Amino acid sequence: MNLFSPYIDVLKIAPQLTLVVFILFFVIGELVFRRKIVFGWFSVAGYIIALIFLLIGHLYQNRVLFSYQIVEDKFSFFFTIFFLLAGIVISFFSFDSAEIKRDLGGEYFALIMAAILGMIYMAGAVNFLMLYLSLEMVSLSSYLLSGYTRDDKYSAEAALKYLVFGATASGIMIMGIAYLYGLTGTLNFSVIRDQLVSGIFPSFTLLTILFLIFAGFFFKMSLVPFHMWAPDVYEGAPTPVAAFLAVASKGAGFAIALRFLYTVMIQGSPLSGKLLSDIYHFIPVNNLDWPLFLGIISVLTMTVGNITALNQTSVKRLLAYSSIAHAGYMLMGFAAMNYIGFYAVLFYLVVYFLMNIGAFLFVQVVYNKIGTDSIVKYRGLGRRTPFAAVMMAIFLFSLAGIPPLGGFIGKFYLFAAVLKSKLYWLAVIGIANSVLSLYYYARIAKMMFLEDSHEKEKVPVSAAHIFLFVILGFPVVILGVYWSPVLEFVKIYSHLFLP
Amino acid sequence: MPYNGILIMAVILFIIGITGVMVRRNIFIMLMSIELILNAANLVFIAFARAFADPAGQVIALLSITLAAAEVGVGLGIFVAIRRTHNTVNVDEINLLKH
Amino acid sequence: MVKETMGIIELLSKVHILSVITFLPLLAAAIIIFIPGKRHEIIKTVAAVFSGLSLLLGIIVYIFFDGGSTSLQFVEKFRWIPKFHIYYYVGVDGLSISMLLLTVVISFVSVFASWGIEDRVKAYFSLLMLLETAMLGVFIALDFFLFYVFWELMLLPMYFLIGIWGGPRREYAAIKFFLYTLAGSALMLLAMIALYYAGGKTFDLVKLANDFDFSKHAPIHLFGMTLPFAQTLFLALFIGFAIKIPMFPFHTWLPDAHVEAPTAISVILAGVLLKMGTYGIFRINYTIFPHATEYFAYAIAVFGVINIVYGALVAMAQEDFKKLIAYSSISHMGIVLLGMAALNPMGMNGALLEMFNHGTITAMLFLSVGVIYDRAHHRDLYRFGGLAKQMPVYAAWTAFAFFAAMGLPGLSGFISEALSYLGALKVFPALTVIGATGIIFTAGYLLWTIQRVFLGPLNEKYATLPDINTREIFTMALPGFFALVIGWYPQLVLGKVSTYMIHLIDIVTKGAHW
Repeated sequence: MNLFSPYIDVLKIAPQLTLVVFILFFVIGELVFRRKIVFGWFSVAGYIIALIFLLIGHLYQNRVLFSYQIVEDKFSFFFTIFFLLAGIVISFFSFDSAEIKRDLGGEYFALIMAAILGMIYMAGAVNFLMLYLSLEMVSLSSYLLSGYTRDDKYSAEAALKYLVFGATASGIMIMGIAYLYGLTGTLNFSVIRDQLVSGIFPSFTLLTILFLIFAGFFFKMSLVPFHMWAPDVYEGAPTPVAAFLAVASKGAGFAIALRFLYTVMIQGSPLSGKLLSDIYHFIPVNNLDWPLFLGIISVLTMTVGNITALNQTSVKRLLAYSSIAHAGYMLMGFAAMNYIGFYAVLFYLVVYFLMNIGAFLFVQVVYNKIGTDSIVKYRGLGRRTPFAAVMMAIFLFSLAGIPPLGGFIGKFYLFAAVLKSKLYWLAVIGIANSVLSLYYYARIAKMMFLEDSHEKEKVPVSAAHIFLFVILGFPVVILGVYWSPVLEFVKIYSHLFLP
Repeated sequence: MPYNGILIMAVILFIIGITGVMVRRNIFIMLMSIELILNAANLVFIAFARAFADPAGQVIALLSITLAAAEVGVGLGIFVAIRRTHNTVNVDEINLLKH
Repeated sequence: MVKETMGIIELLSKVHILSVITFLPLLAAAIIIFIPGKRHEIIKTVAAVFSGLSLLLGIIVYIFFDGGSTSLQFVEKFRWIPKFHIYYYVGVDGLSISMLLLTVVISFVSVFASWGIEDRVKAYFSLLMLLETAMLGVFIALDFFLFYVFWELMLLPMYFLIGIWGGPRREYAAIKFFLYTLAGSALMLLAMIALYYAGGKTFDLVKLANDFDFSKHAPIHLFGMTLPFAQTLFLALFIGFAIKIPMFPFHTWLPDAHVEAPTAISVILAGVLLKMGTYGIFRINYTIFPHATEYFAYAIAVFGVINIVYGALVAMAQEDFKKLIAYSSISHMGIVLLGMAALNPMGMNGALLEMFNHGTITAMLFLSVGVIYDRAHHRDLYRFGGLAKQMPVYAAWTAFAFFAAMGLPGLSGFISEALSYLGALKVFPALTVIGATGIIFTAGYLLWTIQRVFLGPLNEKYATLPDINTREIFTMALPGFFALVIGWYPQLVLGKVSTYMIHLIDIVTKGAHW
């Protein structure tokens, strides 16, 4: 290997470097600029510059960087765009947040950007060293973000719970990685895969190691039994941070789980070849039955999420349980073990990004005005802020999977994947959950439109928020009617490169 | 294999750590238990790194120690905030958010 | 003459007449959104004009529809999502043409029945128009996916229409309606996807019906059970549709929804939405699972009879005028089920005609309840009395509707009920005799209701009630026209549908192609 290759690689990661530069700038920028909004615009600019660099760099072929630490392939490209867009949206989201104090702008946007930088590395990690480092980078930034309003009891408590759960989960994961290292003698995904394919390992040992490693993934994806942090953290953290964690952080969890499972834990590496046909069925390595295990976790996660969501009184908490349930739906795509399942997860993430951030945005708009997210205070909001409330209704019914909204199409492909593999039990439980979930989504809609309150004062929506409602809401509707372009996009970008 | 003892030691440390996180209610002790979990993993890494004569295990162990330090740094920061807002270090009393 | 007709049909196909009819109301909804909310009259006029246009075009299509042919007409097919073989594929045949006519008529009527709405007018009429588009879409869709999307599209407007403008327990009724229907359509979604993979990747209902025999498909393994493929999918779809009909024991949402819904929405609910259940069974279950249909025919008949008798008996016990009509709907939909299970020309034609007639007659019934409720502000049957003296015109119209519902000879209900019962009598003699007792109960509760409301001494409280007004007469006259004309000239509907319905029997029993 060329001694200088690491230095050349540095130039190839211009998008990431851009983010680093901006993070460093934020640290000292406090000396010059005192207003939050300035940092908000700077961070939007940072993400856009990174996006431009990314699109330019994308002209290159798949490549491996930093001595087999990260790859740049179609899959990581997809997620890098996902995270950068999340960064832009969350920046706009935070512009008019009453929770993020005006005098503390720089750190906040720096932390968000650091988390996104970690996520971008996570999506490209092909080495456990890089995986662990990037995962911790995301985690550490997230702990701080959730405790960002440090004088708020709830926020501090959320941060503590997040930290304890997160550190334990990543500790369990690193233990699993250590033993996998002992078993295979390497941390490199492709070498591990070669070892697993050629060598005979006792499947009990392998499964135990796998479960230990899953702890870290499950924590990020908020799957049962590592989901308990999510409601507390979402409720206690500032709303933009909750939205950020629910979408970007979960997306990062799915990115790394998809890459690890579909490069290391399956027979062959079909996703690095040509575009697969829809009927392609993956076979787990050594016939380990991890798909069944994930199917069971999927059922548990969605059921726990939905049933607990039924009688929540805080909308943020309700959305937390709903996001747990959605992680369960997405996991159905893993259990199906076919190509549809793979790209259905990516498609669902796109729709989930739009509708979930949208729902949190509404929570923030209401919180800015009335200072609470209690569900009973949502009475009569349909009259007090008609535009935002209609948008919220679109997001909610899309989350419930009612056609013709994007959420339905996402679920449609997940169920198509499951039924393609003839996992009828999973499909039946999944659809029953989907029906159940309607109840609590409709409950919010009911409060907003069907009930009246004596409060008549209008709830204002700032320009930044109207802009966000439009760019999040319209795609949700359009994706429900015409989704071919996005589907083609996720199909093309569901390619994992394994050196 | 001469490393069996180390591996068993690591498992014991790991179990003590997990138990500590679940049972103890003092934030300090919980952070220390998490350190135990991480150190158990580090022990395994170093043992195998020596067995394979492969530097990767040592590298990840070193980085893991660094990360653990960072984690404790963040943890203590949060600890200060908790101490100020809740006036306690017992997690059972930190229960504003419903379970 | 023939040549001219052909020319017009060609022209109608060329302008995508079915899509135009379906999406005109959606356009109206879009226009209404941009009208200032205070301009109630303009909003109502726009809704009336656009649904009127749909009605007009619907009648034109109905007139030029060739009733002697079994093939699909006015077909439009476009690729929608080619990679998943989803098409925008619409067309009408003898089955859907009657439902198309019913839908445009009832929707038009319901716009006028909603004229009295004063609260959030803009939202109300845009939702109503969206609902009309969804209903029309269900009846013309020939692609399963498209069908499903339209089917579900109905739920949201319906939920809000009941939930916002409904009665005191509207929230409960709305969510109950929503959850029941969604549970049914969830099963339908799974069945649809399973069919997609079992049937060589297509959602095309015609292809699924013609090209595949699912009775020999590999069984389904579910929770340790081994279930035959065709029967299981038949049931999954059937339950989805049965909830909509609503078939006993899935009927409990209906009385709540009806009682709480505003008049116009009750009219749509009973007039069109219930028909979608039986339409779906005809359209999807009968054509795709012919063997399973024969297998379950007896069970369908049994549930039909339960519906008839149960609905009539419960209706008899009601004190609430609207609830009584709601249960009478359940009873009448039982007749449709009984007729369709007979699988002979009489029964099938009777069932379809009953769907049409029930749509128009029940619309009248709900409108007449709406008239009295608007004036007296309650619906308790025991607190009226002697209204015939006070409101003679209203009494006459209501009596007309009641006689039609009773199946009095000379009115439309008679023809369709007689056909259904006679058709079923040949196949299920014992069941039909039990079911026929429903006629007596029906006559019983309807006559008793007339007696309680219109006869006897006039309740002094209502001595000042104004009689039915012109708008209300207009809304009742339109469905009343069909009730009267079909009573004397059933060919108006049968002429268009019977060829296809007889062909449908061949599809089920002889394996004919659609």
